Amino acid sequence: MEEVNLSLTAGECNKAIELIEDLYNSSYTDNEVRMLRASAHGCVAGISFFPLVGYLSTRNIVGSEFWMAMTEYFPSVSQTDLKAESGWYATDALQAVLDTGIVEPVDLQINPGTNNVGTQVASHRIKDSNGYLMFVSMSTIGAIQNRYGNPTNEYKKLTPLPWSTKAAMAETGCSYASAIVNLLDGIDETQTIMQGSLKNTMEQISSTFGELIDTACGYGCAGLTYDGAVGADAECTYSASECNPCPLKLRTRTSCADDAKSACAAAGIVRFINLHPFGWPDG
Amino acid sequence: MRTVICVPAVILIFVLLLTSFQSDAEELHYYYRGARATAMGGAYVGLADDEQALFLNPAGLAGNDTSVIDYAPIMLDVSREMYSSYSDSSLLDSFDFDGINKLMGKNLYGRFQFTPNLIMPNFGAAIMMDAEMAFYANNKAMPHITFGWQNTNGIQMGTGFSLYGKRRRPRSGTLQNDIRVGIGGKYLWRRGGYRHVPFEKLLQINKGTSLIKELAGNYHTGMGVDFGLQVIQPLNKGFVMSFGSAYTDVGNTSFGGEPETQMGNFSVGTALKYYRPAFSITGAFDYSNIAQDVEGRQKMHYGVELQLSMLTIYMGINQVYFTTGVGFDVWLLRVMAVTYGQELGTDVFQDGNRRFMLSIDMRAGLF
Repeated sequence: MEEVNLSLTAGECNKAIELIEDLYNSSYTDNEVRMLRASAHGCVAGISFFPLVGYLSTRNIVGSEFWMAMTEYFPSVSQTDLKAESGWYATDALQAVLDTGIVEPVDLQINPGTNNVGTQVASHRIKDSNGYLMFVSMSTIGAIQNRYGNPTNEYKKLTPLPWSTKAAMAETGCSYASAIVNLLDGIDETQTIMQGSLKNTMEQISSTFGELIDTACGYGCAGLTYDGAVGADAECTYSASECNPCPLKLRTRTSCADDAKSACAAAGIVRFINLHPFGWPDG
Repeated sequence: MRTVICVPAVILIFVLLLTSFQSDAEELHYYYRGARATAMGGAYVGLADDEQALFLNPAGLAGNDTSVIDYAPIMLDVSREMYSSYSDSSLLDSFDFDGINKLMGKNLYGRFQFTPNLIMPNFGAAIMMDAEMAFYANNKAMPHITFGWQNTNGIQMGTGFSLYGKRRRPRSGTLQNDIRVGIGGKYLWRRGGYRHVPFEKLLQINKGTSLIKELAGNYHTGMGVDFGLQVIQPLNKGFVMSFGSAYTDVGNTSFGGEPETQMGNFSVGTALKYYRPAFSITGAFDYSNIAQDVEGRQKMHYGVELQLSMLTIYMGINQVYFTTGVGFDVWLLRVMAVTYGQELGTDVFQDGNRRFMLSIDMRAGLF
């Protein structure tokens, strides 16, 4: 595992993945292996920890500027660069870093039946995992926005994200919405241990978007527009309160395929991003 | 003679067979770094024939037949990256995010040691003042940082004596075969140590100064005991073979839980010295940290010393890394410059750290 750390120092992300992947998938995996696997995929996803923390600490990210900042910091051209995909794999690993003594009920598990069973409940994971999940989620958000939003030179979107209804929801859209709720979970779990300007920035993100995203989930399940008007999605007929706060299942990036509420909630988040004043601005 | 050689050889083979070849631990930390021992690749336990015996094998004090006071022995030890980073002033200007990121992959290490001592026949005493700092950072995606900040001060005393009750050197000047034992004790106060910085602490880095204070902690006291054994066997005219075994910091010297524990170091070694009037040449081998869970090659030390009148040249292998040094001994002043390598990883050749040591020693004979 020292070799993985040394490879990641040299920026040899793929070599680090090769070194850790077999151990991660084996029965000998443990939390240290999972964290290393997350860092190896985080490397591909474009995470360089100290520059990223410095960027977040010094940039005044207010409201909709957050989405532009993510687009700027985490560029991605296409699936061939594997940046969003690496964010997914890093998320899988981090969600499996359970706290001591936790035995997760089946309905809260992520990737059941594997050697790395995760939990949808952020408080069941260790703080290191939730801390790093914030940055991994940011990388996923930025990469997907770059690929599908056709951003301008000022990092605003020219194309609305396509997953604005349950019918249009796809795995990528679900993972995008999942990354947003995971980011907010990560901030909530690590607020008490962060300090300084990084804490200020993350608290600002949480306070700005925490309730708004939960409301967006509720509107999504009820088929309402981003501002609560009817007629956004005929397939989603749940009551808003069933999805406010956002469904736990949405923390699983693949949940939309077999869970209608998650798909509806995710669509509500995408409508928020596309249209809300605090969403990703148009270019 | 046969018994005298066989017993240490059996001990050496025995401990080698028992040695674990697993590797979970990282860098081995030494309480004392002597320039001469370091220049010889860390091989000294069998040789133990100068003031360093007080720290490394107290049995060697029995072989001392002069009284000397080293009143200003200063040792400065830095890693190559520390030197190059210091030369690039932008790297050490600020301990903020950009500053730390520039240091990723650089193994910064620095140590200062001041050990004034008095060495007499059968006895030695020293004051220890030691300060170390280290910053090892890997993995730019999720930093894995070891931060070292350690101060150790204290007093050390030791005694060594011959089991045969012989003088070290009869008036004829020839060495006789001998078995020596020694015991030493130290009373120390220490703060800090080498700590892996948890990821959650990285979310708290602002300017870094509070992290240093937190990791350094407060001073706590500890007491340690050392045992030593040395067997001297002259072979024929000019050749002397010696075997040694030492257990320093028996049972580990702890400091009340906060500062880093000084791990016990059980070592065995052998040396072969050839004396001529104009020069002497010594070869030595040590197998150290026997009880520690590190890869076997990290415990191996080989060294050669060529001593001329005022000039001494050293070469060796410390673990798997080349060491070399040169010393000048001019009456009351002794200066040594050494370069050596130290493994920082769990296995050899994984993360070698090249270091440079300068030792300046002012001394005076007493009687």
